[in-house]
Amino acid sequence: MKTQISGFACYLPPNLIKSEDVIPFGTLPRGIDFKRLTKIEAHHEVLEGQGSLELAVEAAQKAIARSGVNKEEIDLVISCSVTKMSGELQNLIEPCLASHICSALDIKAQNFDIANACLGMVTGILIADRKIRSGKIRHALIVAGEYLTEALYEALGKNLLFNQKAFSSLTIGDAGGAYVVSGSDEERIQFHEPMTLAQHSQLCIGDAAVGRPGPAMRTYGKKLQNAALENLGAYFKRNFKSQEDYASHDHIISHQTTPRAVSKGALIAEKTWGSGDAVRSISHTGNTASTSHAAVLETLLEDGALLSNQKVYLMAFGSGLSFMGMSFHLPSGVETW
Amino acid sequence: MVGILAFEFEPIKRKSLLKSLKGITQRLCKKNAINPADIGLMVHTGTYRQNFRQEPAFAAHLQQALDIGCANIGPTSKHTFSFDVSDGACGPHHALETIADLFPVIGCKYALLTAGDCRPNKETPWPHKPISFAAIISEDGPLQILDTRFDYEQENDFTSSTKFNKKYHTEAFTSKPHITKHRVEENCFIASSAWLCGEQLSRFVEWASSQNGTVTHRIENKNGRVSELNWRVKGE
Repeated sequence: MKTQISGFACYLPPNLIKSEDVIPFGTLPRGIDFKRLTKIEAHHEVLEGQGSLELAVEAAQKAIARSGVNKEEIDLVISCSVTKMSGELQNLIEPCLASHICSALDIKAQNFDIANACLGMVTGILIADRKIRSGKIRHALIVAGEYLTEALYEALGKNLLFNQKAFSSLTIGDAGGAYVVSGSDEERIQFHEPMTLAQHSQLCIGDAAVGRPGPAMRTYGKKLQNAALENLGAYFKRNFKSQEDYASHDHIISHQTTPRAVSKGALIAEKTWGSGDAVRSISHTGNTASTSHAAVLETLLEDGALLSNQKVYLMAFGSGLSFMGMSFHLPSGVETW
Repeated sequence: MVGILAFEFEPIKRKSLLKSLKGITQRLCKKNAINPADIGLMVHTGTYRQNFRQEPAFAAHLQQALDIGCANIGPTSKHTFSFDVSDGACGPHHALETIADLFPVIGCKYALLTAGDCRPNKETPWPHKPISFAAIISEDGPLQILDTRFDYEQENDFTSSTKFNKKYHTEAFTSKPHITKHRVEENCFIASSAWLCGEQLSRFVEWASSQNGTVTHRIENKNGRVSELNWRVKGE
């Protein structure tokens, strides 16, 4: 048995917040303009009562409907959320978030959570791929709900001149993402080597805030970005067989930290394989952690830029520092979604 | 088919979880003449982390502490892939099954499974005495992983989540947990629902090592979720 992505979706809560309204000029020290520095125009924030679960469920419902798969045929649900935060800012410990997602969707399937930061969803798809190939399951739902923006407000409460590690928290936004992975007669998903460059594991830490409810994130942003960019060219060289292999992709979607960082990655792609034209970036979501690839796919879909059977490459990074590339063909009929 | 080749565990006591797991993994590799560089996959399972940390994966911190595959990417550099799997006390079964699923695609000689928990902060009540557990998984490990079964029919509404207290977040529950007492019924090792992941694995593996043939490890979670993992113990 081979595999395919039969459905995907991103849910962005309709609460769109412009960067200048939350992080106006003067917020950052030394006259740095956040919008000019990052190219992030806006981000989405949860509506009242929404948390990670609700974001994940919204995305999952959309992805399942698009896939045409019956819920009864989903045998595995993996939640890959970095955050498991309720609307009341309580972070779920036990049972796993996937169990709550199954209850909300009335899916009776094996379920568990994985934690691999922003690489979580691609890691989840890899696990589902192996289970489908070995005949253990029929379809899998890989899902995440990232309620992150409380960490943004936690950072804004700090003096950013003395807390520069809080700066990356300003780049985040809320979103839900989901993929349905199914069996296929032909190879429609291919993975590139997963790896963790753990010498950088201390560069981005997300945990519970101290002194206030909700999460906090502390990041050595520049060091982390440099570590990713320094290794990206070598990763591409190792994993694409040829320039033609790289160029066979219609869309190359990197993890979206900031549009500016993605454009730096595009330059490395260009330097390595001759063109960065297929690299896609969005500026209206911020960094939505594990759901960021789904956010780009959804935006391209809304823009009418996705066509049946086009080839997409997801370049995933996660704090840790983890790398994994995934190449897949878009489902037939994606234009009609 | 993959199985546990060797294992090691210890009560964490006053050590940090990271130090404890680093120590027992190094001992495990030394005792069994395993080159840590041959570990291509690391999966950690647990429920509680320092200050309820969400990222990165604990396994990435352990990989750094053990200095495995910590080099920049080159044309022939060797790397390791690390992440965490969780589902309360049932986490070890998902973690083991995930390792068995990924083992062929990672193409490594060994995988490392670790389990353990730590008190998140001083404001969180801590009735646990956690155990850290590490196991080397290989293709010819004598404690072979056969198959798993998951049953959520008896799931109740017991939920544990963090709640902001004075300075730190602490743990809050929605209702009383489902209690299962440890017992052995023929070839089935039924674990206590109060055991954390490290204790789940260390108690079972220690028991299973003295068995022969097919045995079952059954975990009933605090919220009634049940998982069973069948093993084949290859005798001497």
